[in-house]
Amino acid sequence: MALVNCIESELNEVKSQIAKETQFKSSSLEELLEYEMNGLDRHLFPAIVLTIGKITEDNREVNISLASIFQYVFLAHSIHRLVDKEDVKASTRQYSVLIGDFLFGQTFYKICDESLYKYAWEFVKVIETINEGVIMRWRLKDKTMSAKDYSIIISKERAALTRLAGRLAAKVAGLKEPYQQRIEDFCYSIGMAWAAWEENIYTSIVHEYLINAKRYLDELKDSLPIRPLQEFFYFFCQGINQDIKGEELLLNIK
Amino acid sequence: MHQQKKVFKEVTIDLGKVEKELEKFLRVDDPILAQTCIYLLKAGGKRMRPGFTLLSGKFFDYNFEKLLPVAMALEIIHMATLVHDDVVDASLTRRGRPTLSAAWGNSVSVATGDFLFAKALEMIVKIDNIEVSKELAKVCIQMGRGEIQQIKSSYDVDQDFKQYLYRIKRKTALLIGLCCKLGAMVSRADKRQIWILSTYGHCLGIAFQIVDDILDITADSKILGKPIGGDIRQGIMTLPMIYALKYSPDQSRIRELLHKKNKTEGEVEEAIYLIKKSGGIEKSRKIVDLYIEKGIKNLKELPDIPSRKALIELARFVAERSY
Repeated sequence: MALVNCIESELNEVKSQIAKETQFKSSSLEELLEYEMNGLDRHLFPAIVLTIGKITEDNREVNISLASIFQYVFLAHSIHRLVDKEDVKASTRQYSVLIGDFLFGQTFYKICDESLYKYAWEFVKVIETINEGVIMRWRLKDKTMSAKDYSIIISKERAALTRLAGRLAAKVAGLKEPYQQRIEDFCYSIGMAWAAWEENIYTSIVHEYLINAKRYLDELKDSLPIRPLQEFFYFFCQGINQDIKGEELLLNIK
Repeated sequence: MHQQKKVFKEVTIDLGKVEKELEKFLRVDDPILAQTCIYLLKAGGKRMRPGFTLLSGKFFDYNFEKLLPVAMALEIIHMATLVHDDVVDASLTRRGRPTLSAAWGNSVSVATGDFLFAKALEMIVKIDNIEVSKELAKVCIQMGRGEIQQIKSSYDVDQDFKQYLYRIKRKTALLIGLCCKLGAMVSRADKRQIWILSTYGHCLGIAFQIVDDILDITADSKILGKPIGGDIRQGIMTLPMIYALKYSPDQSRIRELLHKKNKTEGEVEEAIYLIKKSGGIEKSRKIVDLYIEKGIKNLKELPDIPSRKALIELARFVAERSY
């Protein structure tokens, strides 16, 4: 899967920052816990923040920190969800809980940076929302889930976080309010499409939100230099192996 | 419980307010989370952490309104860690009641713990004091490191006192130290005063954890509210075990028992018997006393108010407790 070229160096910095901060007394996170990640799991959150940052090229260091923070929240939540699996090994159960907690701690520590602390409240609220989603999923686990309920769940579990990533990255980039709103909508759509694609329960949701995302990009293209976001969208569509419809969307971008 | 209530009498009224505010704050919209949060709150608990924060504040410019969110956040963090600990240890009972994971399953427990963690941070962020937030964040990271190390080193019978100290410092002492530190910080204590109370809390936390580890071998399970021998079953090397491994004439048998992963109940009982016989409990108690003395040593520099006496009594209570 092609990465977003324009953010390659920043993405590498995020990766090395995370690797350094998740070292546990001579073991790395990967050595303690088997956790499979695809390209989107590894890169999507940092890529959202960094590509939005590329629109104005401002606040590079803050963007790198912000990208790491979003990746930490995503990872912490995903790793915690390993306990949901049946027949999970004892060591996996233990490490998933503890490493997830550690990552939440790391998240909060990075938020306590002077330039990001003003957003702490929003991070705290999104972590609450994510867990409300988890609980809602649990409550409906033995029932047939309607598309509406399913949308609420993935909206809380995933899209709330991609939306926040869009909003904060746009704020850090210094974009004006109407553009922040559009970028936020774009990122929310990406989160919905991503989560729905992963579980493959309602494919209509994937298509619906991909089309929305494309529309939001189109609305921005005459007012902002959104080439980085278009590259990001291309990366995302490739990541979810979008079929002809996705290709069509991309033809307009390339 | 009676003795503990007595030492907290300086702040009893305010602790009652903390309890009420916790109930209000955790009355959340989601029906499941509302139930699990209340379940945890009603499980009781010693509420020592808010007690430490309030008592520490008493020495300086005591402002309950400012201390309240800190005290609440610290108690909620403690609750969240207990919920997750029970998932990690697959514990079935705590304080004589089914754990949240036993009653609701691991998914709900982990989500409740995460939700509580976020609620605690919500409280802290409201204060809008970046230094307070930073202190809490640092401790959260270290707590995580300590817990991870505990699992990494389970069944490792070659651990020494230093490695044990690394773990319990992070697992317990840093949070109790923080309770005292933040109580002082929010009440405008100076650097030296903050250090004295932080050191007191830290030492008390170390002593508290060693006593916990002793009780896991010596307590009456009915009084303790959970079965004894849990650490032996899970391969967690505690100080009485480390001493038994070092000094007992039966050390090779103890080594064999503690290293074994799936022990029978008979083997757990045998390990308990041999650890008690080794003198490891008495040696551990001496370390408890050393930390208690170290903790209270500098308190004399603080004003001679009833809170000082309470902190000293609390330290003695921690050392002598049986639950």
